[in-house]
Amino acid sequence: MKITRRTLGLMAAAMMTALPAIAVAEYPQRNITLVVPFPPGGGNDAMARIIGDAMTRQIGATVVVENKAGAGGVVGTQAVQNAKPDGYTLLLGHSGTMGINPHVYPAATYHPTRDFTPVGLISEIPLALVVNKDLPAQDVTGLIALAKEKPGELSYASSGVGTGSHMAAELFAHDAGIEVAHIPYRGSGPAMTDLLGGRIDFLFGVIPSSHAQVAAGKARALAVTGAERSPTMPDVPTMQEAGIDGYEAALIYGLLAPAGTPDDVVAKVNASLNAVLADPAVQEKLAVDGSVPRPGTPAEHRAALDADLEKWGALIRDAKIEIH
Amino acid sequence: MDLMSNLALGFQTAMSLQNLGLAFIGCLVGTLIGILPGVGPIATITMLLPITFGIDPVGALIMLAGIYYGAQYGGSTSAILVNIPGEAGSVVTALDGHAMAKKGRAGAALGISAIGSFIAGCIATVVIAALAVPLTDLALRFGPTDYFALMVMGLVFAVVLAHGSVLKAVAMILLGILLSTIGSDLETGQARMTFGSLHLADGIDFAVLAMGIFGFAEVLRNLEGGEQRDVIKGTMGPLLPTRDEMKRSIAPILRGTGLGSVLGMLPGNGAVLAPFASYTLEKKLSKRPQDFGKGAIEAVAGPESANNAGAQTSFIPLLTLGIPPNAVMAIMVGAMMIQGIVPGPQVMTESPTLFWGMIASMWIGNLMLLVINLPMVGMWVRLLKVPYRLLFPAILIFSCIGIYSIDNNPMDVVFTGGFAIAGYLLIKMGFEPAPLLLGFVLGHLIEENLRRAMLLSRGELSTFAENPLSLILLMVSAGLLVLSALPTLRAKRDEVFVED
Repeated sequence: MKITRRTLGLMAAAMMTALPAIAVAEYPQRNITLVVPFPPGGGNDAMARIIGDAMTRQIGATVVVENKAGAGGVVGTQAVQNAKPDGYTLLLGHSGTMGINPHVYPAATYHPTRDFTPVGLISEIPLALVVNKDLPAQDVTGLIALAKEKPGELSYASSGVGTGSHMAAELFAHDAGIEVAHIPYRGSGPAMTDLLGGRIDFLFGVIPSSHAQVAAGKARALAVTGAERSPTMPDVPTMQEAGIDGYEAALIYGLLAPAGTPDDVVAKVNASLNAVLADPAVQEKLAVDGSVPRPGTPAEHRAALDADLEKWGALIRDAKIEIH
Repeated sequence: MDLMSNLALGFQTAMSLQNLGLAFIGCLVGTLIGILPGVGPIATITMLLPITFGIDPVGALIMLAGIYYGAQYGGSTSAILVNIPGEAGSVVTALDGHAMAKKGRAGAALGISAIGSFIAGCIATVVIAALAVPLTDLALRFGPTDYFALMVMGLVFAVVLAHGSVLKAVAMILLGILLSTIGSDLETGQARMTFGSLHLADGIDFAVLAMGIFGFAEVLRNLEGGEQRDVIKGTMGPLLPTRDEMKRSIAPILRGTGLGSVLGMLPGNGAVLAPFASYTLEKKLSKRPQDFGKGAIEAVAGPESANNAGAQTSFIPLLTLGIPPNAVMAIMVGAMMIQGIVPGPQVMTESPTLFWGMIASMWIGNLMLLVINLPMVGMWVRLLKVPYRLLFPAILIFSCIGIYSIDNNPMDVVFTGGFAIAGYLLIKMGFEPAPLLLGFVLGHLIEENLRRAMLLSRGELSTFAENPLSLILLMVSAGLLVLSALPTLRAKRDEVFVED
């Protein structure tokens, strides 16, 4: 290219407009650590690795996923709470660690929006109400009738005390006014095993893996807990359509940074996250765990976290769920 | 026939140059990382998981499976050489395997565990290919009452067969169970015996406990004796197992494979019991039970085969139901999800190349492990000739790295140190660590399944009697206890866990 006065002028203008961008572009200078407060191998871990891998290519720094498991996610969450608020330590937070734990774990002394800076929502995971294939109930109304007929006799499985699958079921029992027994398991795998084996009557599980069992004829899905039907199982009604007014239980997932993280850094990570969530390849991978992407602003994430904390707190108080 | 065409498809997939290479890299890297003292399959797979992200799903899972077998084999190597089991399965290997190493037969111990694992792996692969689907439905009938009864039987074996120090063995088992109850209560979420520490909220990691009371305590005990090792006293005998040793091992290998294959396919992690059960069985059947604990090759061959067969058949619930029976398989589920595969019963029909390719790769992986490991035996044995003043600091440093890498938690290293001192004192007072570890491993499962069975039956104890399988298992356990109480039989009773 021949450099003329004109192109020089254009180049100068381009550099001038690029200047403010350069100031922000100072972040990231080094690797970003994304803390997953659960052991490797679960849905949380898979989500973090999918997002981290995509963001690495997007943001221009390597996003390293670090598993800091312990105490239902409290250990890893607190590690990020106490980390330097410089944007180099991020947290994968969800309804379990942010919305439920502060109500049930005495050790979880943190507040999701006061002790953290919300960066952006990643996704929502609605669940499916799945019953044992031999249970006579054909729909949600039938299940409620059966539970009322035999109070305390139906058992439901959860993947642990205070997990989303436990809370979704408690919310259902509370709203439907039924009495059912809670059988907690260590993770969703063993819970599903006993449902398939006929020892458990129903459970709330993530949609794709539940759908896999339903499609194989080993279980039946009665409803999904999101506000809308799931494209994975379009024939299955939402809980509201099935007659439970106002019932919605989708687990929210998002990226958080320690409180006091600078706004420009948060904006940069948020932009990168939203760009990644718009990528169909990422959406497809997230869908494996039933994730419905929810790109948005940090402010929307903050509002969602506050609402989530309030919602589960109210249930735990009203239904008098005793965990300790 | 269907099975044959499916297997042909599997081998076609697994034998592609790329997948062969991935299986080889997986086995090799798994072996090398797994050999770090205390680093078992879980830690190894976790560390190496990210390197599989860029590969297609079949290749990634084949490689992960290779890492899994490799790490398992590497874990046995460190159990035999330095008495540090990286996971529950190699506790039993450490008993007689390390005793053999002390007698200068480390090569034979390593060799027989490679050969035994290979045979077990081959047979278990055939079991999976032919019977996975029908057995899955059968295994689903196994409920909490049955698991509870099975685990009780596991403990009773240890009690009945521990001899001379029955009381001490019982005390150790109970201590192990007690240690297993530390952490959040599954049913109530209540923190138990954590002293308010978040580090204890999830209980004690197996590797932390095992490395402390086994490996580190062993180092302490060796330090007091000065350098007197048979290994370096010239005559080492043949490097690999002799013809006689092979002959003595073949039946234990086959029995261990059978036990491991059956226990491994239970979705509730029955595989943990396999090596213990095999050890007990071999000792019962042996003409020289007094040699057990002092370096009997049958006691390495049987449990190692049981362990490997169980490891292999524990893929059954994962492949046919999409349900992981243990922590390693849970990581495999995570890997599948990252690859965009929903684990579930549909994998078999929707992705036959994945399903059958993995099964075929199991056989290939086992063959590769044999090829990788037999030539390395000589190298590992020479490692034992390194003087203590160099070997011990190296073991301690590598172990600490291994422990830290499990959870990135420095407190784990401190705890290992504490268990090392406790383990040393226990050995000095004549208590053996193996029953403690068995109690610890089974403690979780016993408690969870007992309480789950009680919850499901709404507190009716009769649930154990109404269920035929649990009734039989509990009656066998009770019978064994009664037999052991009869004084005439007591004289014949053998020792399982007495080390020296």
